[in-house]
Amino acid sequence: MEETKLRIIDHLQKNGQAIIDARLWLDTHPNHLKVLQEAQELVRRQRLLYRSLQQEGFTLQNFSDHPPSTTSSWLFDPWPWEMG
Amino acid sequence: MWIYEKRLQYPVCINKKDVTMARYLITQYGGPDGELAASLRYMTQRYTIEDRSAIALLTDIATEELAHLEMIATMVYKLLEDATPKELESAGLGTYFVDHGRDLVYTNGDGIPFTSAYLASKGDPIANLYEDIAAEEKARAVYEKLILMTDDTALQDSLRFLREREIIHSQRFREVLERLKDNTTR
Repeated sequence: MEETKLRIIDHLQKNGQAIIDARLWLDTHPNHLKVLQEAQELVRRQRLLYRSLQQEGFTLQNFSDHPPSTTSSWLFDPWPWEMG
Repeated sequence: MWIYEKRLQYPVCINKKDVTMARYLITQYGGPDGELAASLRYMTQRYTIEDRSAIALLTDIATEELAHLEMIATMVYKLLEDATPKELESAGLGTYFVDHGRDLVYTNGDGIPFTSAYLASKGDPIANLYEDIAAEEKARAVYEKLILMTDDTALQDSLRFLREREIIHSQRFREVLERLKDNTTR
């Protein structure tokens, strides 16, 4: 897979991890406003990464990528076990 | 409803062909303390627990465990991908290969099939949360052993990530449990 897509996916992984951690923390600390604000910023950044990946023609999500890439990237871009 | 993302939660790289390691790893796929058991355990506890934090946490951790399941699957798949039948046999996977080829099967390391008895659901919030914390600690202990069983530093790195996630999950479950215990007259 191209270097650009791999770099965006790497950023998605790191930023996505911070979102998961914030989500789990907020599950047990729902009134922690500072973390809530951080989470909102992380999610905003994640959306931008989603968009850049889509612009590269990579379909990331099975049901939520709108519009689906006009190429057949869902079928032909590598699956996680086909990478690395 | 779930949405799939075509990426791993954390990268999995395998530098070294090691069929025996695949056999050890498969217990985290379909064994008693594996990721399938974890995900299904939390998923099914959500309906009766009532506490809002607990429902959210069980949903979110159950979802994350599916991403871990995919990481383990990727490790096992990559380790078995190029192995010859003879190599599989010498790693103790001869009968596995005859029965399943290179398909990933939900079993423990000795080939015992997954059972929902692993979920140990009790219909009691306190008992279930103690079970969840124990499950996370047992999975952590398994990952620590798995790290010792390989000298592939790339694989160790992915396993260390999974070990750390168990610690985070255990911590979050403890927070819910302690609050529920405080609110319960015992």
